[in-house]
Amino acid sequence: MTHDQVVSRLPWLANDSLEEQERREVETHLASCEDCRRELVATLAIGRVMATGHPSPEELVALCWGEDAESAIGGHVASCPTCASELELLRASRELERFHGGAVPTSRVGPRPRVGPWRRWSLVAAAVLLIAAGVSLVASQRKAGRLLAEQQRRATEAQQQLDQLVRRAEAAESARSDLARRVHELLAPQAGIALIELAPFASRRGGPSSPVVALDGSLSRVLLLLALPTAGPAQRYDIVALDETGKEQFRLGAVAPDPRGLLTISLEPAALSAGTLRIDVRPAGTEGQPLATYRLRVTR
Amino acid sequence: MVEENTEQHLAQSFLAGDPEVARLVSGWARLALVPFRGRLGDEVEDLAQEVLAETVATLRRGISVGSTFRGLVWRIAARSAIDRLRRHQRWRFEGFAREPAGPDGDQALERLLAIEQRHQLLAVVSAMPRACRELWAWILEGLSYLEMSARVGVSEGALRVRVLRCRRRAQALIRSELPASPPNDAMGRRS
Repeated sequence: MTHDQVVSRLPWLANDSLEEQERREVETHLASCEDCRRELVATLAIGRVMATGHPSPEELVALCWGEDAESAIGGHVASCPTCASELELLRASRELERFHGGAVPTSRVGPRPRVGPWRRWSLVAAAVLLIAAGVSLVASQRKAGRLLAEQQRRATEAQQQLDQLVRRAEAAESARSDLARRVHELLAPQAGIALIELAPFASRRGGPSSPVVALDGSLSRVLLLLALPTAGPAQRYDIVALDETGKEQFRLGAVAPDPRGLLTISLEPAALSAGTLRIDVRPAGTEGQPLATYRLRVTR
Repeated sequence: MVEENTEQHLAQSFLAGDPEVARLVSGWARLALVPFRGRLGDEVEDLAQEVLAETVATLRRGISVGSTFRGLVWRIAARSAIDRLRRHQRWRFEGFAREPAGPDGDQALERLLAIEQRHQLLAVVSAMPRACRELWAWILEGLSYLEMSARVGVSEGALRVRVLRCRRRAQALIRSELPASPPNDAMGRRS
């Protein structure tokens, strides 16, 4: 180890933090080098000065407690990291003293200076109860919040499911209408067939007026497609058509719907008279209120 | 007046060995030492006992309690804690003081160490750059140069050079503050 290397390690030889091997090398060098020994003595002296060149603990305490306003010490402390750190600890302690309260309770003076233990315990119990009540309140609020959030989540899910069902129903309705239109477009011009799709009259909510079928000489057949309400209770249905006067125009019994829920009626044009036709559909073999009612205007 | 009577009454009860007052004062001492727990660790418990003993000694010496008895206990605790912190410094003053340092080395060191005029030491340390004081504070705490270089963020060699420069700076300051010294003194000066 060179002279410079030894000198640069002397502070750590003095604070005993050198590795064992390194320390031995430095000490071996020192044993034979008078210059380095002088450097060591100087280093020790500097360390001593740096360790002791600070206000005493008493002075720092006095400064912190506001009892010593000596400017030299204050100036030193303001720029000294060691003293600043010590003063910070002292100030924290001082704050605790202030926080601890003012004077000692005067109840300690007089013939009965001692505070009964029941009072302390009652204060502790009150504090515990207060804390427990606070914790309970916070917990119940959190629980209510969780329940509300859960209900909102479920409502949102239900709304999403409903929207999905509505979209599916609309899509199915649209597909059925498209199919009927295409069948009409394909068949009607060639075979002279009038294809009329009817929805239950009661389900029309301010929709268009009753469909119109114009009977002329070119028509050979009138094909009525009656869309049943969903989930009909019977597999077969009786169909009765009445004119405006209530006179029966035609009657069909035990008509089976197709898989898409459509009742198909094929009529001769002569079976229909001009005017508004009311068509009632009931479950086969039943009387009374019809399951669905349809309206059709016939013109000639 | 009531407060003074209260303080006197408490101090007398403490000296008389009233267990409840002793518990109260012990609680003050422990509370006063709370900020020092981080650096003193378990020593705080021993220190609290020392604070109580010193409080008893102070009261028996007849020192006035002053405005508050609690304030006295608090100041004793705070001063004792700082004192204990400073004793943590790892600096081998004694171990090397007897090293042969030339014909006048020991005498020079003794002379330097004997000069404990606080204002001179304070002036020297206060004149040191803050960075140097911080480096030396870490050395006195016992940090290795590896630890210090990691803290500062420089290489070990660069750190040792910085400390050496700080040492030279301090030597120059001490020369300017201390009275004329004999040849070959502890500051490494040669005649």
